[in-house]
Amino acid sequence: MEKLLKLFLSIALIFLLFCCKSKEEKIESIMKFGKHADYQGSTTCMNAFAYLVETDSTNAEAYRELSIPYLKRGIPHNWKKWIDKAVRYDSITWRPYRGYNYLWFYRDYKKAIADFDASDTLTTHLDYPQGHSVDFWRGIAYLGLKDYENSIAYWNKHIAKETMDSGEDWVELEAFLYRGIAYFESGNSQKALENFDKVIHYFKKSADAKYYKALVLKDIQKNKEASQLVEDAIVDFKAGFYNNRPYVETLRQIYLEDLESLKKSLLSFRTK
Amino acid sequence: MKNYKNDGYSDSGYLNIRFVINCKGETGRYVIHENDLSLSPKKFNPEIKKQLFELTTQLNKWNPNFIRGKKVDSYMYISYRIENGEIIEIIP
Repeated sequence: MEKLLKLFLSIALIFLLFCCKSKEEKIESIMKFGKHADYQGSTTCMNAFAYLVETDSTNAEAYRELSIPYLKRGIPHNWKKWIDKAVRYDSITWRPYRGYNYLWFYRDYKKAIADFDASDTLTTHLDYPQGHSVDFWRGIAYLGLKDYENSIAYWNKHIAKETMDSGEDWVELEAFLYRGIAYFESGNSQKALENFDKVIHYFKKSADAKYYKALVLKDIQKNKEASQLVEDAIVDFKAGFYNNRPYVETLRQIYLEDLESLKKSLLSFRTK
Repeated sequence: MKNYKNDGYSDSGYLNIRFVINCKGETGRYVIHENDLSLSPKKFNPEIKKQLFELTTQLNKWNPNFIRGKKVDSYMYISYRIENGEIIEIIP
């Protein structure tokens, strides 16, 4: 049955190649077919995009489509071969996107930042690869490098812009969370608390904000308050309210074990 | 990570181990990809490769993938980002 389906899809692809009038129409049809014929990275889809780059050798989007299955399947050299071609033929669209890939799938913060920085000069506007601005992504990348000064600077820039454009209540909670973590890790408890409180103010169920706030409170010997927060964080975590992302572990992702471990250490501290 | 020992290695790059998790949660069909930090193919010190392969194949609490109400076979990978013999990141 599966073989029959593949045969049908291949015949459909061949039909598409010969039925259209102009080259532009043919390219559009193959792109549409490749994106919807089957699941991403299937033989049928990959063949469609391979046909597409044979038909139009500078089609950046087709090269990008060829790259992604390798990214998600952990085959780095093949991802790079295709994504670099996408960047070569349309750097405005795909360079900041490649930076996003370097950031999350390779944890190569320096290469990610280089691509995000390049987007500053490639366009006059602020780029938003994969739904967030390059400033948002730079805030994360610099935190990955433990360059807290630059991380906080990009969070400040991002939060100021979003606040001016739409109001503070529209700023993504991750922005306050990660700015808080950057302050916490660089030893500024007061500023860290302000940011974690901001997350909790806008959303009551954040295991991450409560966990990090509890860590700060523990540092300043407010153990009773910290213990209550950890209990709340565990409830939030079990209900699914914790920072995570598809495909990869997020930066500074917390696990139930982290919460249980903090709870235990606070308990032992209080009983001493 | 604590079970890995840097025995004076100087290698850097990504050592990726891909494998199948079948519908029963069993693993097999391991494939290793070795790349430098620029993602070009390279060869790691065989000792690093052996250590990481053994550590990865010892992981045995895998949940099978669940799609459209059915447990199915699927691919998984673990990528070790290594700098001067040290594991810096475990991805994804």
